[in-house]
Amino acid sequence: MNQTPRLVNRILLILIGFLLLLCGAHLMLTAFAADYAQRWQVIASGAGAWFGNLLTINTLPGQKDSWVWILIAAFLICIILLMLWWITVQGRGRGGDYVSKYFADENTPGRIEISPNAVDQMLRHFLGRRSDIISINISVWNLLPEAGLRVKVQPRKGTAPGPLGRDVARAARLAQEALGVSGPVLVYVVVGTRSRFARTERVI
Amino acid sequence: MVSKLDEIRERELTSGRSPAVLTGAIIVILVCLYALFEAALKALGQEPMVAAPETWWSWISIMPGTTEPAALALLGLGIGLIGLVLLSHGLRRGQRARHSLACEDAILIVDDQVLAAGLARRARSAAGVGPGQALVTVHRERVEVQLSPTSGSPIDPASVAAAIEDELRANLVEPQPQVHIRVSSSGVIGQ
Repeated sequence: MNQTPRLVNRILLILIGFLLLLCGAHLMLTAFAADYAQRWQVIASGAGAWFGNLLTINTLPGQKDSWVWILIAAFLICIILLMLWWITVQGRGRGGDYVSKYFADENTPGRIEISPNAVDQMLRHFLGRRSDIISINISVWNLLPEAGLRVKVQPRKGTAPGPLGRDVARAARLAQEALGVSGPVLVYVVVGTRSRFARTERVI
Repeated sequence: MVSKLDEIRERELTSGRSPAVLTGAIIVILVCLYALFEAALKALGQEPMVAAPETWWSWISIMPGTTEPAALALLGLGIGLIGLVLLSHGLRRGQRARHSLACEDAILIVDDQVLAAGLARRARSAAGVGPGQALVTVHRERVEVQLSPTSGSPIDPASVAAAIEDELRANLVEPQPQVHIRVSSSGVIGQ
């Protein structure tokens, strides 16, 4: 339910991967293929001469070095900032309150906020005492038009996940009805360290 | 609304490639940071940190030059492999070991290990063996059950397969995976 920009991730990964692959292939070819290395040296000396020319044209009189270096530095700063942005947008989208609505009633106008803890308590109430659940964990995610509810359930080892998951989903639906919201619900039945090591059966 | 739910489901079933993104972004940042320092020093007319851009370029343009070819090839191999890994992360779907089960009220996602543990319990009771004698592995479209019978009491694979299929139906795994049962030829001492 997070807002990781998956398409951007894929495109940039393909781009960076392809460039690195090209770079590696180039290094290997220059190391072992003599005529490839020769052709590369011809191309490189041409490019070097062109760039050297560019630098000399764009050197202000009285200065030692060209101002093109400043442009290059600015461009590199942009790329670095873009990469930092790219890292920070991974896994974003966790919301705060599950419900946050303003009601313009005539007598008592105001905002109602319901925290995920309240949903958690309701879910536990609707599910009752169950021996097949080790833990329940709730998180709220910013989705449009309504916030998404992600319920992470860790069952005892050997529990059939289908019926359990559907019970939890029904309880979540009941909680939503009580709160008057209808956003998407995700029930995720996980394996955790506690259910991995805990005993299968237990005397209740 | 339906496409929105499908998108959420797809997000749970496949990887968002965040670790690969972190690796790729850090590589680009480090390279750019170094180039930035050299370019800035050059722009300010200062002495270079490691080598001036011209020195770098002269080394690159006359490659292989005096550099040891084996070292160059090894460097190329390393860079190429990192590139290949990132490229494959970008291109492959990135299926996670999870299944989506049918559910009216919500999207229901289950870790394959949870599903396998449930099936193993059912297989154990259908085959009449103790814990540790049934090993279930859940793949994308296939469920493999490995049974070690207790010495002296044979197992009927068909009945175990029927029980497993019944359990898959009860869990509403869609599409229903194929069930493969393997009973090992040597028995173990029962528990």
